[in-house]
Amino acid sequence: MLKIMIVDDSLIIRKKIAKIVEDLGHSVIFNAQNAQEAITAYTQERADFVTMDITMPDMDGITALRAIMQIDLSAKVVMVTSHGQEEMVIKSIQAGAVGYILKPITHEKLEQSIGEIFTEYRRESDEFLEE
Amino acid sequence: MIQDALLLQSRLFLEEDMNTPIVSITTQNNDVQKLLLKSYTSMIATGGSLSLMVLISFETPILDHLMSRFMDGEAVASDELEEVRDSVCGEVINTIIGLALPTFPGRGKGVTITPPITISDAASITKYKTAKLTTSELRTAHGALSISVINSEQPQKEQ
Repeated sequence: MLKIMIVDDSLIIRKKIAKIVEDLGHSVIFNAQNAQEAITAYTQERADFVTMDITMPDMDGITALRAIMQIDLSAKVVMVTSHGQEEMVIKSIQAGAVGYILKPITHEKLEQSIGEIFTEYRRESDEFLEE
Repeated sequence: MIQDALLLQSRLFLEEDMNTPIVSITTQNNDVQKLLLKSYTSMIATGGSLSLMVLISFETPILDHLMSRFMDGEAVASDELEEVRDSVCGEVINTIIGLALPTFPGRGKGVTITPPITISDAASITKYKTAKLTTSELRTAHGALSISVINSEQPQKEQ
């Protein structure tokens, strides 16, 4: 089971992602409605996987991503984005995001994205146990 | 062209992503003073190389239907219903404009968009007395929504 943080200013998107994440058997450790909340929460508890909205008022998702990467260089942050934000996606990847999910968010897209990270997570765990 | 782009993406979003077929679409050009809002409305303004206001206005049944789709049928607690409805309004307009932007003139390059704003009455819009309004009404089996595009010119000074 992965510990997941959701960062999105849209209540319906936070609810939707939380439902999918829980249906997949993972746990939501923090639901942040803005970037500053996310940075504070990540400082207190590191998530295995973060979904980060790119466009948020006050502080955008890329700035929050950079702050989280400063806290934890191995953070797994996936950006949630709409069409038309390709430049922002490229900047996010350059800033350390491990991928992106194009809206509208579906069970399949999120499962695939988490699955990729989960494979990595399981491989790291296996390597740790073998040592 | 902007209206066509929004209508195409609205159709794709409603029919393919939300599994909500559109029964009919009617489009009218009108004086901005004739702007009528339905129960719930969200607006995004564009700036930069394209200055517009786009509003999507929902009858309550279609909004609740879309909310149910977003939530995969899971009920929303009554104490957060209004907040979730506003959030769905914002998410729908955000998604449709995001999808349509690359099909705007110049592929939408240099166009900036504001976050969605909830609008509760038309007075804040109708002050743009010389603005041009195009409204399309999309009817579904679950109720109607309208998409309005306003060429946002400077508001005339009140006499």
